[in-house]
Amino acid sequence: MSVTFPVILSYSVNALELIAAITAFIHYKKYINSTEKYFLPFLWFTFFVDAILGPVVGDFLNMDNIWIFYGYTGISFLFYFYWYHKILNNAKQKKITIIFSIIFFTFYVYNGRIIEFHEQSFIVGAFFILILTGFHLYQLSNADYTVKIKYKLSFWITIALVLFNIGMIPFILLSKHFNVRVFTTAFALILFFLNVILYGCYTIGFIWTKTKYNHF
Amino acid sequence: MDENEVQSFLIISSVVLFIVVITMISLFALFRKRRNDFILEQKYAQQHFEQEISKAQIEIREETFRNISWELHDNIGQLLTLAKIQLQNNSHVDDVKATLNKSLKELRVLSKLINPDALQKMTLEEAVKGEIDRFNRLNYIESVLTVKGDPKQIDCKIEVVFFRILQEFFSNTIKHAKATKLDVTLDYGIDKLTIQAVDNGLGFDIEKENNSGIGLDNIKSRAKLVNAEATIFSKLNEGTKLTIVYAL
Repeated sequence: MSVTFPVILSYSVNALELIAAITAFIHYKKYINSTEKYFLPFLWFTFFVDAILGPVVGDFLNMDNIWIFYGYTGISFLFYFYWYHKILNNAKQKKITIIFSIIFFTFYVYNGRIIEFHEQSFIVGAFFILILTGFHLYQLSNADYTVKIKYKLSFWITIALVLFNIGMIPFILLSKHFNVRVFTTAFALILFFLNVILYGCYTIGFIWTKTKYNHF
Repeated sequence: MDENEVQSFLIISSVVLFIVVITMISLFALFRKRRNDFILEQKYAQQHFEQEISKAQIEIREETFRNISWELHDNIGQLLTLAKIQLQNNSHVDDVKATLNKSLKELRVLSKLINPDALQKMTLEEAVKGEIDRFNRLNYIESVLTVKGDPKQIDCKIEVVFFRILQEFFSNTIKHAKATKLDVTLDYGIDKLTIQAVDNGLGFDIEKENNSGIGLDNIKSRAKLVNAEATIFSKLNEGTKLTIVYAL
């Protein structure tokens, strides 16, 4: 079970990614005029890297696919930074987003050389994302649509990112502390739980969102 | 999994779960509170709006009473006094008749103007025209009303606010500005209504003048209440211009 269970969970995460990407595609018209439209290609890209490119390179070509996932980590964080830069209204917060992107990229390139440091890049990125989600949630809490917040897609994406990253940071730090091996059931189970939250929130957001709430 | 791994798993999963759940609860509580605050603010704003409309309506009524008083005293009263003097002086009966006829005519016009039903059904254009006609009839000030474009239906509560703003401006023009001319324009554009009132009075220095004293702050805040924008431009000895822009 210790061998097959993590694999099943890993496929389940791929299934969650696929569900989120398909839902995003079905409801695309609802958010076509907002910056959330970039999430459709991003989610398909995620599925492609995680479910196809990674396993093909790793399992079929027997090559080290860690660089593919590290590459994806960099692209995904920079994508989130770019998205927050677009949706945040406050000029100061926009500047902070650019500074975060530069700091993250520097860390990312520097840590990229040593595999053991890859997690550090993720933690830095996740920490910055948490700050940016805080900015956006503050912006949303002071807007007219606070009353109907569940219809706003950026709210669901932000909630997904908050819950995923706030769980990932202690998870990575504690895993390192307790020296948990990457492909154990424990690791896969917690990762699966966090992915359920991430893609679950995305999927709910795409289904519930209404066109008139996605104007920026 | 060995015992150590199980222990690690339990600790890590408990911590992760705890943090995620606490975050979820906090976010839920925060947005619920903000939602309730927002609903309360909206209710308060609605109440404030209704109060301001009522206040504007009361002020219009008070202004109307004041106008009736003036008209009875300065216009009809004067005509009747003239008729009395003519009778005392044994003037020609036709002259007395003419004076009395004029008094009756003025009385009818006044009666028509202050009929509550008529006031209720009046559009902004009709109400402003009534004021302009009155100014001309009583020779208070030479006034002109110009209507451009096709008049569009506006919420009567909003019309009340615009009318009251204009009434305040007219009152300033007559009482303080010593103007001889007043031009009012209602311009119904495709997507906005522009109301402009211009006098050629004494004007004032916008920078120096204590605006609250002559109701300029009140005019601006009232316009804001109905999502319109009021701007006042004035220069010493060059008159005053009020512009209200309202998106239709």
